[in-house]
Parts: sequence; C-alpha cells; structure tokens
Amino acid sequence: MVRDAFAFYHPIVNFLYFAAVIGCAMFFLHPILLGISFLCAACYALYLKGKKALFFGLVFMLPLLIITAAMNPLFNHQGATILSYLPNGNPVTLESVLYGFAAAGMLVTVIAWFMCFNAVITGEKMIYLFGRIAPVLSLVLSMSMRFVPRFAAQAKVIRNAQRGMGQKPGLVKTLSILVTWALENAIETADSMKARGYGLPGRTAFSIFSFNRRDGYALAYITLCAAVIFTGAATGALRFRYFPAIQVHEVTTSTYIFFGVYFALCAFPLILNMKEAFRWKYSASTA
Amino acid sequence: MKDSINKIKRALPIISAVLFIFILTSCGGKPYKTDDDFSVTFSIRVDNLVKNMDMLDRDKHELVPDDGVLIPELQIAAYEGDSVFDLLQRVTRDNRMHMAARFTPVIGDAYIEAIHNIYAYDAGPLSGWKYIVNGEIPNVSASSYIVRAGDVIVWAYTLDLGRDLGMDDDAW
Repeated sequence: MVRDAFAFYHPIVNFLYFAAVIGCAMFFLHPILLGISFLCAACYALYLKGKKALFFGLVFMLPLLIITAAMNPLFNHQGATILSYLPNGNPVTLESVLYGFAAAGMLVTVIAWFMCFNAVITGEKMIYLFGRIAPVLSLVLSMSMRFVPRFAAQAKVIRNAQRGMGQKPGLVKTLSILVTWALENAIETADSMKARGYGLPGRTAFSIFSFNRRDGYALAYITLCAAVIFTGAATGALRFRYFPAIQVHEVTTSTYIFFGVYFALCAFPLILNMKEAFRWKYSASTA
Repeated sequence: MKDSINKIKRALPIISAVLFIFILTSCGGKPYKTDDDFSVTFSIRVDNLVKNMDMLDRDKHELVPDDGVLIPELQIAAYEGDSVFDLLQRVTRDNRMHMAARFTPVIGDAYIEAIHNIYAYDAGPLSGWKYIVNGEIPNVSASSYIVRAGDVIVWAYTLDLGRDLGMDDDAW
C-alpha cells in the first residue's frame, strides 16, 4: 500500500473526516457538489489502491452507474419536459433522466468513499475508536472486515501449493481445503483469545495513537469546512430542485465560496499528500 | 422432413402458450372500437388548489394557474368504447401536458397519479385526482367508465377525497 499522509493522523480525525464527507455525499444531489465529491473520492481511491480501484471502478461501478441511471426514468415519471412516451403511455421526462444520473452518481460516489474508508480506517483504528463504546461490535466488525481479504489470500496460498505439487488447482478442491482451514483457524483464534484473557474485566486494548497539535489543526479544519457547508445547506443556497422542473438557487459569490469549501473538505487528504510529496522533493533537492 | 416435424413438436408448448395468452387477453380486453365519433365536453381544473394554495407542496405552486383551469372546456371527439382515461390520455398528449398513471395488471385499471406534475398527495393525505361526469362522481376507475355522446367530463383535483367536489359520504 502507498504511504498515505492522511492515514497517519489520529483515528478520530480520520473517522470524522469520512463521516462528514460521506454524509455530505449522501445528502447533496446538486450536480456540482456531486461532481466535486466524486472527483475527490475517485482520485483518493486511485491514490490508495491504484490499479485495483481502477479495475473495480470500470468493471463494477460503471455498469452500476449506467443501470441505475437508466432505471429511474422507467419508474419515475415526474418532470415538466416530456421527451417521449413509454409503451404503457407514461411519459419519459428530461428531469427524471437527469435525476437518475444524479442518484446513480451519488451511489457510486458513496461506494468510492467507502473504498477509501476501508483503506484508511484499519481494524486497529476501528477497535481504538469503538473499543470502549461497543467492544464486541468493534471486534466483530474488524474481524469480519478482515474476513474476505484473508480468505482470498489463503485461497491463493492453497492454489500455489497445488500448482507446486504439479496438480491443477480445482475450484471445489480449493474451496474444501479453504473451509477446513477456516474452521480450524476459528478454533485456534478462539483458543488464542481465551488464553490472552478476552472478556476478563479490566482489560485494556493497546494503542499507540496520540492526539498531536497537527491532529487538532486537522480537526479544526474539518469542523470549520463542515460548518460552512452546513450553513450553506441550511440557508438553501446548495439546493438544486429536479422536480417538477429544474431550478437552481440563485448563484452568488457565496455559492462559489460554498463550492470552494466543499472542494477543500473533500480534497483534504489529497492536499495533505501533495504537501508531503512537495516537501519530500524540496528537502531532497536542497540536501 | 422428420427434422422439421421434430422442430414443430418442440415448438408446440411455446405456440400453445402464446395462443393461450392471446385468448386470455382478447377476452378481457377493451370493447371493439368503431370509427363513428361523437362529441363530449372535456376540461381539467384545479379550483380547490387555487383556494387552498397553502396546502400544496411549495415546489408545485408555479404549476397552478390563477384561474384554476389547466384545460378549458373543449368539445372533443370520442369513439365508441372510449373510457374517460382514454380521453384524458389523448387530450394530455395532444396538449403536450404531463400525465402519469399507474396500472394494475390483470384487471387493467388505471390510477391517475398526476396531471401537469400535480401528484396525488401533493396537497395533504386526502388529495388526488377525480373525474366528474355530468355533475356526478362515478365510483369506478376512469379506465372502466365508458363515455357516451354529450357527456360533460371534468377532471378535478380534490383535497378531501372528493367531498370538496360535491361528493357525499353516502357515495361510498
């Protein structure tokens, strides 16, 4: 994995950032805000996961986007601009097509943000964040999030071993070995946890996270951005009406400020990484 | 030769299924239409909304004309077997006006969800579209009410299950 500057911040900063960004992505259907959020999420996911994110985006997200966008005008007939008629007589409207694209874009954006979330908020951070509030839930969450990649990795090990023995790795055989391994592994995990005193009172979880001044600044930055955007949303400046006819709230200087602040919030990890890269190059050239 | 017979044999279930569906649909379909047309009076009104604009969804206010007339009284041609829904569909299409309906499969009834983007429930939980024929509100679906010559048809928006259109509770 790449060295992500944002991931080195305190888990609370990480979590609040994603809460703000995903929350905004889920509630704003304004096309410009959606575009900003999608662009930042896609860039960050590409930065974090590289080719894997690109593959996932093209193979799963693009068809998802197209299907979701195409479905909407079939079932939603609202809108003043009639483009044509469905066989059953109901109208296909421009507004419902655009709304379909917006809703699909929102879905894809939120998924992209969650890809970043999974890369940045590791199991360790999850336990640190929620270990005290909900110890069992956070453990189960972090274990289940590890489940799929761990299975995939073990399947690869099994297939490699079979190839090494000169066999053709078959799906059923691999699966059978994988399940056996998983069951045995589960018992071992349970034994190990018991041996280390899981569930005993007064146990603490080790963590090396400390809240620095840097984290304080980041937290203030995120809170400030979120507050500005919240004000924008509360005053209705970020409203974009789709039905019955598209209506944009009057665009003033403050609207551009809200867009700028939203970009500043969404691009925060990218800005941090760019700053790091710049500093690294700068210090290397002077030395 | 044997091959083609086998092919037909294989296709037999499909053919019979298609025939079966065809027979089923042709039985319950619309009455036979002739070319003889007659004239009916047709209009669409939203007077109740004009009187109670505060009840209506803010975003829909711009859709309501001040006089409450969406389609003024028109003399239009109807054909034998036309339902009120058929007329509504024809008039809204001719006027490029928005209209959305929901269809119940099998019985083929149409429920009018919206005319001119004013949807049912846009003005409270008892609001929606009703049709009035010769001053009375028939208690059947618009797609099963067959029009007759000289009928005066009004589509009107109600805020109170038709009570504000002069329909009394006994009608139910």
